[in-house]
Amino acid sequence: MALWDLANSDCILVMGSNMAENHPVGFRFVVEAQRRGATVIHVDPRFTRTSALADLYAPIRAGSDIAFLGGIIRHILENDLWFRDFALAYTNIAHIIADGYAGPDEADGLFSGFDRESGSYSHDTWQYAGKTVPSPVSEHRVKMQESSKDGDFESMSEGPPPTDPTLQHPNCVYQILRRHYARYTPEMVERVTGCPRETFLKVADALARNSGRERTGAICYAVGWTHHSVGVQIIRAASIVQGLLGNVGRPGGGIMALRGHVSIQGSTDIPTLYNMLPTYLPQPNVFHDHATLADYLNVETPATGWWANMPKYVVSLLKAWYGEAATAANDWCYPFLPKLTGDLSQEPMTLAMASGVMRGQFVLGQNPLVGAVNADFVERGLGKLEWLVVRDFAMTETANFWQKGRLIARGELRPEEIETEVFFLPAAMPGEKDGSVTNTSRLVQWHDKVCEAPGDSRSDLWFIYHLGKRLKQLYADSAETRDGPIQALTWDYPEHGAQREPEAEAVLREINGYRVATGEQVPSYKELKDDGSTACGGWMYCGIYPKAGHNVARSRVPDGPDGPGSHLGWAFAWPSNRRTLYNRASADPEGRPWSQAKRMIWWDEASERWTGLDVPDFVETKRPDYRPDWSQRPHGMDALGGDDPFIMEADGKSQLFVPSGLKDGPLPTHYEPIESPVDNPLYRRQINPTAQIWEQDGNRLNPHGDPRFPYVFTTYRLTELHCGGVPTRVMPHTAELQPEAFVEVSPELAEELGIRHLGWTVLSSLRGEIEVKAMVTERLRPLRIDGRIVHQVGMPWVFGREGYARGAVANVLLAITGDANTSIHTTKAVTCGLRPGRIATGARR
Amino acid sequence: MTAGGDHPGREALTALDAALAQRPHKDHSSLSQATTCLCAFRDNLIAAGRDGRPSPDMMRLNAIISVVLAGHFPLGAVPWDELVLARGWLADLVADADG
Repeated sequence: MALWDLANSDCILVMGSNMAENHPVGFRFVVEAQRRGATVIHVDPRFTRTSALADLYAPIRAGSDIAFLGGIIRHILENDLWFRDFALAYTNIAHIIADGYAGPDEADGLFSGFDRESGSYSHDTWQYAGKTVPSPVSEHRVKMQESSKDGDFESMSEGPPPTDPTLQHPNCVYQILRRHYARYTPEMVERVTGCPRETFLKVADALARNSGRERTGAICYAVGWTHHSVGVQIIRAASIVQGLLGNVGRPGGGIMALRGHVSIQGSTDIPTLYNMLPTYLPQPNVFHDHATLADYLNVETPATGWWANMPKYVVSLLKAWYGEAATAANDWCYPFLPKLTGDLSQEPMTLAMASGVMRGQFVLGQNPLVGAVNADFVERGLGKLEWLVVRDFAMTETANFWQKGRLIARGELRPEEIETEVFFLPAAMPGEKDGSVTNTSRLVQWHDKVCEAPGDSRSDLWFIYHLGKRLKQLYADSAETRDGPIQALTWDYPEHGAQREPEAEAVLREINGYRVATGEQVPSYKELKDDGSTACGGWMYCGIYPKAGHNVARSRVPDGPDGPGSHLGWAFAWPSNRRTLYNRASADPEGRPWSQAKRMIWWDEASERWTGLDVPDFVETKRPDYRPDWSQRPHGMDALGGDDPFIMEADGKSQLFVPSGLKDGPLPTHYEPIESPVDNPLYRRQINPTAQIWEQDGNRLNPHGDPRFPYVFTTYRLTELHCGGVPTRVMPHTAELQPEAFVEVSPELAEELGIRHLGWTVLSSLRGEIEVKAMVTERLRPLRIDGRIVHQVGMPWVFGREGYARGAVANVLLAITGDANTSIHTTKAVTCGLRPGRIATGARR
Repeated sequence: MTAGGDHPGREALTALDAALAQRPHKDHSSLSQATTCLCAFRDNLIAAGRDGRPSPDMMRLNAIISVVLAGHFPLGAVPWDELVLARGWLADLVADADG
């Protein structure tokens, strides 16, 4: 959904985010919704400015989100509050799951298919009966070794998945959901989360009351949900709530993933991620049947739904990258693509740095000695590199680790023993370069350079482009096969000015795509081909530069007060400048708006097209009453009916139950955080059995129940200091607003431990110790969990030793662990020790 | 994790054998040790090459490191069969280096 569409919501639940402080620009649409009568709810371990502006605040223990959301799901189902017409038609609630399926309610906290020896799940019993369902997320397919080999995905073209519209079948998703969440009663929610039962029920009622034909609700989250060992499943729980309530693809309805910093959405789309090719195409894997392009496309292309078009996008991408060198005879240079072997995300690679695998590192737009977990471990790893390149516009803790690091200050390392050669290069600031920012709503906004960067400062584009040119020059005469990708890579952007700055818009034109024969821009991804006649650097962005001289991302034409409110003239939202994904769901199965108040797109019988206030996310001319002819084994979009809005899914239905793609279960289940002072009240299984844990020297976990670490520790950002902190800690006007680090402690805990407001404290975990002043505040409250009081403490993670606003690095306390699906670290719920006083001299940071 | 001995290649073999003996359980500490020793072995071979001494097949060694990393940080199931193959390649390389 668009950020501004939040203003159309009747109820907004902010959870896993302090939106008012960390996304203040977007939060104005929440305030606008509230002004129009919406109920705003904040669920959070800490009472923040978001809580202060909310109509309803619900405190919870950090890391107990699934218990809370599971309670809402149960409340909706058991009180028959779901939007039946929507969910029956558009979700898989009536689908029948394979016979062997068993949930954690039956199997001691585990789903069927768990292999205790390898610690992983098989998905066989999670499938729709008689089907093999491909995950719509290629990243999941590649990680899970799903495969269409032997024609499994073809089962989706043989007929629709079996369903029971009466919802009586014991293995239909509705009945499974009811069994699964039966134990998530309001009493259990209170026992696990600490949120009073009455408060929880107010939240659940407000969400349900504001959903249906006439009303919609939105859920906003940020890394308060993702940075857990069950992060993906927390978001899945929200999607179940929204699917049941009919809050997807409709005005004011949806799940808003509030991105953590500028253009992180863009760096996912045109990724800096290791496991995806641009715009969510699967990275080939050496252990899969990916040896040739034909093999890769054969096993990775779903038979049904929009993803059946994947070959067009892959071949067009290869043409964009390898140009004339890419021909049908050489598989469009597919062999040049690096093949995955294992998990190369940040956490494993941090460990690999310490092992000596990684010999050099580029750090652009990050400050891992503040932002990455287990800062001391990271510092030791940096000290083992041969070279380190840091580009930033002010000195960072990462760049001068060899001179001023925590370990240097503590005497554990000495600069003369560190052989890492560090290159610190000055970077241009946003106003000093052309480029784009893709925000949380998939909205790509172009910005122009307003002044030259001083001195030797250069844009990141300049650096990467000229580095690439030098590499091509170095390898120009190589006869080694392995150097072929560098030699063949198209790398010919126009340069201008004394600094030979590459033209950023030329990169955007390539991402949009063009016809190879004429160089003419391709106006839409629907015109991309798999025959080498089109080139496209990222199919979802196609249309952003649809013709020569027309950069749609530069557009700034808002709707007037009486306009449709979709603001289609403001920048570009991928795909196809569409503001709301799956907006076919804003109309009923017959193609009529669910209500006039909540209309978005609808079927126009006269013109025989979908039309409305947004760009339809559907085949424009597909009638609502179209049904696949299964006798013809339909493929692609032909296999989806005119009432199947979720076109990226293999059967067009929203997945309340996920048959494929997730490593830790088809339904969200409450497990305790990897470190928790609490025994799991819901299951005997304490933690996510598939969480990624890499215990080793320097990265030990606090043992469960260890009396040295009795408190829940959580971290967060501040409005005044941004992320890794350097852009704002070096600015006097922002630094003076938050001059030094602090830890928030409740008055009750402060009294118990003898901690004074503004007095020194020491926080500890098995990863390290830090000292920081106490902010004794009622913003954090002790919670009664499972019959006993549990204290939480919280600390901003944005401080470091550089700049004007300084203080301890909170992430020293955190461990390197990973969510099972994404390998994302846990920063929101670990355990710690806390005492008044200071660290002994010599051992300080 | 250390690779402090004079024969990191052989130490890597030992660590890899320990990891393979745990099959099908993933053994983080043995794989981590194998990785560390393999990298130390690689450093030795690079140093030998820079000194003008004949250096065994570095591409093969990098492939071994990739497979061990894939076992250490798997995307799906641990590729045990490939780890067994990699162990064989490593044994050949160590023999060459000792040779």
